[in-house]
Amino acid sequence: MRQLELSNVWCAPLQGVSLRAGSGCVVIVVESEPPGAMLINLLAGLKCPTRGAIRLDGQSPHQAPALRGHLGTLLANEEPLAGARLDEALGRTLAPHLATVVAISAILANADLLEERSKHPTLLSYEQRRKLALAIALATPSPKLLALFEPLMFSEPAFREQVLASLVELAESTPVVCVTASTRDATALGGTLYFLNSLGVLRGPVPVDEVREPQPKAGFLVECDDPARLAQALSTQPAVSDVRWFEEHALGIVEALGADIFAVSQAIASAVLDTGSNVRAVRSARRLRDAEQPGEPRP
Amino acid sequence: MNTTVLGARYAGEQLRSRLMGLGAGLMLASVACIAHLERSELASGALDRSLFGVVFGWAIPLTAFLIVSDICSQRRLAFGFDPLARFGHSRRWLGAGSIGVAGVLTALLSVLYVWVALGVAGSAPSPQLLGDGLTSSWIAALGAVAYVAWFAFWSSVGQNGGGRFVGLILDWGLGLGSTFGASMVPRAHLRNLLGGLPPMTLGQSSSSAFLLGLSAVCLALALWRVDP
Repeated sequence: MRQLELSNVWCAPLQGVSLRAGSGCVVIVVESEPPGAMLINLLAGLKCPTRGAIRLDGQSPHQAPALRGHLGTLLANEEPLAGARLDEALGRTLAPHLATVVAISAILANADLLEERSKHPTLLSYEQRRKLALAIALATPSPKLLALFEPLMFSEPAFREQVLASLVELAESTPVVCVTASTRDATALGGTLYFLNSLGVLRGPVPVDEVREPQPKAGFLVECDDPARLAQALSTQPAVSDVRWFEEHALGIVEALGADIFAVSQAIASAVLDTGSNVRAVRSARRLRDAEQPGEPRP
Repeated sequence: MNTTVLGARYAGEQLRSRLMGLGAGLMLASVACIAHLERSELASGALDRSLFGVVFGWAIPLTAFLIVSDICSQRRLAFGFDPLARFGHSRRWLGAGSIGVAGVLTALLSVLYVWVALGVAGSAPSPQLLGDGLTSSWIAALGAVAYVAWFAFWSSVGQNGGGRFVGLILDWGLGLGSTFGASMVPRAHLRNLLGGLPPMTLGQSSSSAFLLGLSAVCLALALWRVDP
């Protein structure tokens, strides 16, 4: 199974990003473009972290050209390929296993650029360049990782749907990391959600329900050994407006709610650190509430 | 091997820019003008002064500097290869190909500078002049390769390849003397090969070997410092 691991990665503007993913879709919702663009550049092996490490199957994408040949990437800023004609530029640029006549035609067809094959690459529009890069990424042979910036941001709904279907299929066997600023795209892609703020701090994973239907009071259920103590610590946190605790089957649970899901998660983290509580799991409060039977008593 | 050829083709396309043509044209015109001035001032020794001064003094180093800057896209060595590196090509081999093209182009231009200086500042055509021209040509070609390797190494220093300027200043600063420092830069050895003051009293054959060694070491260091 392919394994992507980012451990405490620093590279301006990213600050200590840690992430671990196997096959499946990881969607990173960004507040602003620069941190997301940098994250994709790092995953594509174009930049090297100033601190921390990125490992894909134990190798660094920046240091391993052979590994980069199996990465499908869509960058935030796709530059035109170098060459006089589009098909010639593709044939020259792509790794040998992709640069066959058939593969090039298929890539151009998938990007709706078959008729533009004799065009100079610099004459392609921004969207056409992105389409081409995405078609190359999706055609990557035995991909080890797909790292895509705004993979669904295309004007044609049919192309968007086609991409979505391909990504869902690929995510069954490959880690797919998508960066997007759109919560609509994030929920369409599904998978594990993270948030990357404009300061480059990654938060999450966030339950997808919280993004699909933001609640006026979002929150978490924390399973821990000493719920009373943790609840008391949380009650002093300004971000937490509502806190309760109870015990179920010898399991202590603290429910913490607040207006801002990030602030609540931050408050839980600091309360856990302050009290030294032994936390077993943190779950979405909403998900557990949905699962509860109506009328179930709570202390 | 394919990647090296790709790097060479990529560099070749980059060097085909109008700016590069303009730079080379200006350099040629400068060589011709200064050689003409030297001759009109004092015909005797005008060729030597032109070769020592304008051709080997600054036309060859500056041409190498400009060409290496261009293949590096005014950045650190091999940073400009990211559009190819992302598809699995090794930056190191791309760099090797592009430095090769830079070396060949600089050598050709350098030989051209020599013959332009020879044509303008030299006396009437004679076998002696032809011999001088041929000798100066191989020295210019060797110097060009050494300078390209020298600047390629310095382009791998600094976040945006700012080390290139350090290389230029070191060559101009240390190369004027004849001390140990002078033997570490191409300029002093080229001056020795042209019949000028040798660095550390080295013979001309030693200077040739030094230049070749310096080129090999600089090239190896430059490629070693490039991320794969």
